[in-house]
Amino acid sequence: MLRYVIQMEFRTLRRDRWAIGLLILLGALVAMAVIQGSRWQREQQEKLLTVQKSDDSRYNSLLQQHVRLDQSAQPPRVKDDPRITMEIAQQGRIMTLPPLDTSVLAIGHADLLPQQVHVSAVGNESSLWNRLEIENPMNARSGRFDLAFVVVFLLPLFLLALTFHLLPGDREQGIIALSLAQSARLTPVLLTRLAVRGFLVWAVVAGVALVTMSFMDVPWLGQQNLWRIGMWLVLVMGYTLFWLAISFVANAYASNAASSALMLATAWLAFVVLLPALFNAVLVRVCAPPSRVQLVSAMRTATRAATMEASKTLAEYYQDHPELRPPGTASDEAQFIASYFATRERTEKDVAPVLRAFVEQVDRQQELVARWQYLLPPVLLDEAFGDLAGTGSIRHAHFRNQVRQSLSAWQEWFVPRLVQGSVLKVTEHDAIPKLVYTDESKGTLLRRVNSAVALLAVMTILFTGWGVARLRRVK
Amino acid sequence: MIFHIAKKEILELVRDGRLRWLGALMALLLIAAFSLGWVEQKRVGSERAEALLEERENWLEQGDKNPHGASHDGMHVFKPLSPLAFFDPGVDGYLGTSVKLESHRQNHIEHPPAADFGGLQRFGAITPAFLLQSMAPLLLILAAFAAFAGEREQGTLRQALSCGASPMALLGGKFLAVIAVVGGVLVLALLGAVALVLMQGTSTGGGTEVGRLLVLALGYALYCAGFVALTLAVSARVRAARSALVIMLGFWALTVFVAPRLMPHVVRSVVTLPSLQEFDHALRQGLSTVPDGHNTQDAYIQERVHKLLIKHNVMHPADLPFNIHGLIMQEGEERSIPIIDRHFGSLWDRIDKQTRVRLWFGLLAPSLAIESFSMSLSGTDFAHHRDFAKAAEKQRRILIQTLNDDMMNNSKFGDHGYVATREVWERVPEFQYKTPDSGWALRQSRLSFVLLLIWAGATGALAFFAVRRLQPL
Repeated sequence: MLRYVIQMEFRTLRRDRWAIGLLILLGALVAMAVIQGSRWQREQQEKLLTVQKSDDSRYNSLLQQHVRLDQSAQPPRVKDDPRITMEIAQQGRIMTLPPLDTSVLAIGHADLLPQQVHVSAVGNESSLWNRLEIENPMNARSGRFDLAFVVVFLLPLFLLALTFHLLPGDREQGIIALSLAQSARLTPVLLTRLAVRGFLVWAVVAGVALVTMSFMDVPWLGQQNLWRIGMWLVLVMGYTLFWLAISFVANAYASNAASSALMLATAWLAFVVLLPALFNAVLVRVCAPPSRVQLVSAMRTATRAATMEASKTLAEYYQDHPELRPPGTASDEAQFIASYFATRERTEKDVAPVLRAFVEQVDRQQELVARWQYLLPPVLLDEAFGDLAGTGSIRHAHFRNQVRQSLSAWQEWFVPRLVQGSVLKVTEHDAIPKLVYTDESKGTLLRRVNSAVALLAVMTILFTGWGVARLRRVK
Repeated sequence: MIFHIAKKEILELVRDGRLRWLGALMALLLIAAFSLGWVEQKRVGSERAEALLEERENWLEQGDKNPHGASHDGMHVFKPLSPLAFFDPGVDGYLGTSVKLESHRQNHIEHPPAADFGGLQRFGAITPAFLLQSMAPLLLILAAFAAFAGEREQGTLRQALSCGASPMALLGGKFLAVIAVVGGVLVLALLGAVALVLMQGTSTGGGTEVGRLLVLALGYALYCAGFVALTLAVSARVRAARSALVIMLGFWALTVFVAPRLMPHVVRSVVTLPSLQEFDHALRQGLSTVPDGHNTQDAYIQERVHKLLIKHNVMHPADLPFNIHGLIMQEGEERSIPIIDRHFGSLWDRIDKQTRVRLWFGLLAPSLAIESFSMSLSGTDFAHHRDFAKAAEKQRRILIQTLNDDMMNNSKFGDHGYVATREVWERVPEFQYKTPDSGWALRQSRLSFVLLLIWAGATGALAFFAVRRLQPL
């Protein structure tokens, strides 16, 4: 019987120009999203590569200059001399967050957040994240047309357009009575029909995406990428099933096709637009981190206090770091450097409560998002896509953490040398902490993605159960 | 006749349970949006005002120090929140909120709130503008999709026409009915916004916000009227109400959700923007071509000193009646101004050009025209941000000139221990930024208003022609 229903459904779809048109449109949108995504990824990769190369070549020429000057035995100059520790400490290095091949899956938030930062021993961490990439603010607000958008926002609309009328349409045409008269059971027939349509939609999305990726030379078959693509296909399947389950409920309840369309449009609006937007609005207000404005003010006030009491600040600094106290009378320059770091350390101490409150609130916000997103499948899916693409907020937070650690490592290495006025030796270059980003482990990432899959499965089962219960009561 | 038809339609719409539910939901969401917006407006507004006061105090209380040292420490200015930001926060979240004013360079405006929120923000936020731009059209579509097609299916269209009702009277009556019922939501939104504006008391724009709101209401009315006219046109042309609904829902999703996402790719293919690093590098390169006053060995400075010595007929800079370092610092600043203006001007012009390209697509997707119109009148668009950035830069130039003048007139050549006092800091005027008036905002949004007029006119004409050839069966 079900085999017959499947055959009939394929036959019906083959003759339905509306359905074919929708599937072609969906395929075109997917292809467009992949093309845009891979272009963005390529641009990003080239940009970061150029930055990295120019930073490497700048550093290498400094190194060569250092070797030459060491051999020449000239005394160190005040400026433009790599033997002066401050020169290297100030020039710093660039640390980048490399885009993954799979970033074609979701551009996400990565078009806004800095993917490269300048780490130096004199910089401070909070100033690294003060600005977004240069972008037209209208574009920044709307976000890019990427594969994640097509799947999260548009795929449900296509699914709903292809399935909203299955049962109510039959009811309007009197086909249901005919089917029931042939001892067909409503639930399996409807579920089979939905499954056929859902499978077609999934196949179009998956097929067109993979073919376009191949066409755009995205190495999705590579060892590092295949499992990510595999998980993406599973997530898309899970999301398809979730929306099919919602459509199943609407079909079971609606008396006519227009009502079913309305119910599904409302469900889409609620799940994809209103609930995430409401959640966002509440989160921004209820759990807003202390604003950066407060942070700037606190920093300015603390700096002013530290500068005004410069001698006291310096004395306290030497008390905390007796190993850095110069043996005799310090030169003007050494005094200036010591005073600079003393002021900075005191400012950091004074601002620490505001910064701590800021970080705690951001963590609380993330925690809330992580907890409540289980009620919002589109949000969960979007995060999971970001994870797989390497453009998600968690990977960026991971990058920020590593930048913070690198910055501390640089300061720990440089500050004592700067305050003591040591001259840098060529051999010491190797000991300067390296700035390399390391991704989080596959296991951690998979745990998060698997939880999204599990949630979609649970919600699909719940909605399907609801639909089945309703259909049992339908005469 | 039109009013009789409208009365009957209103009765039917009010009796429709689905619409009642959706209308109530929309009203609830509007109330929530206004409340959330209001709380945020109060919080952010007072925070920025306090920060500005605190910064002024920091500036005045910085103690005695060298004026050039003070110019490097600089001061921060904070962008005030537009009084209508609670209605439409626009692109404020993606632009900075404060900028450090210091010597030798114009800084970017920093600390955009978007930097501190995750990917969730791309799902949008519940604001009155968001609801009116995305939800109101949906409500209008649901109220109007069955207007002709539904009656045709039920056979009542034939009856109405045979009773002598003209197709145009039907169109007018149905249009008025939908506008009257759903227009209530618009009026509710307008009243809510006016109330909140009045509650804010003094505003930065000198009480022009109510005027801005009235113009905003006109824009939203055109946007909504276009959706009603288009839905009626589709309903008149297709056979089944179901088809009208699906077509209009498709158009709604396309214009409200898909079009804005496509725009970044389109505008970038027409006008490109430099990356942050490219821009900063180019600006640094540009500024490196003029002496900043620090390098006294610079050929230009040497020549300038030489000329001044000849002019004042003295042998040594210390014999000049002023401190030449102050003069050189100021000349360095003045020579950097055209370079700064060129780089920032070119960047902002490119952003404006992209925005205009995006706006022209409002001919196809009216949501692009209304979003631009709405944020422009709400004072939360890029044009307002640019105006603030220009005001902040003007303040920077005044600040640096005051400090350099002090150094030039009150310190001696080679006196590195010279310090200025509070009296000098007080000479720098307090930064007071006023949001441009509504006339300025309206001039900025001329194109989007014209596009909204075209949208309403074109859909009205479409409805007219669709109904003129109305088929009763």
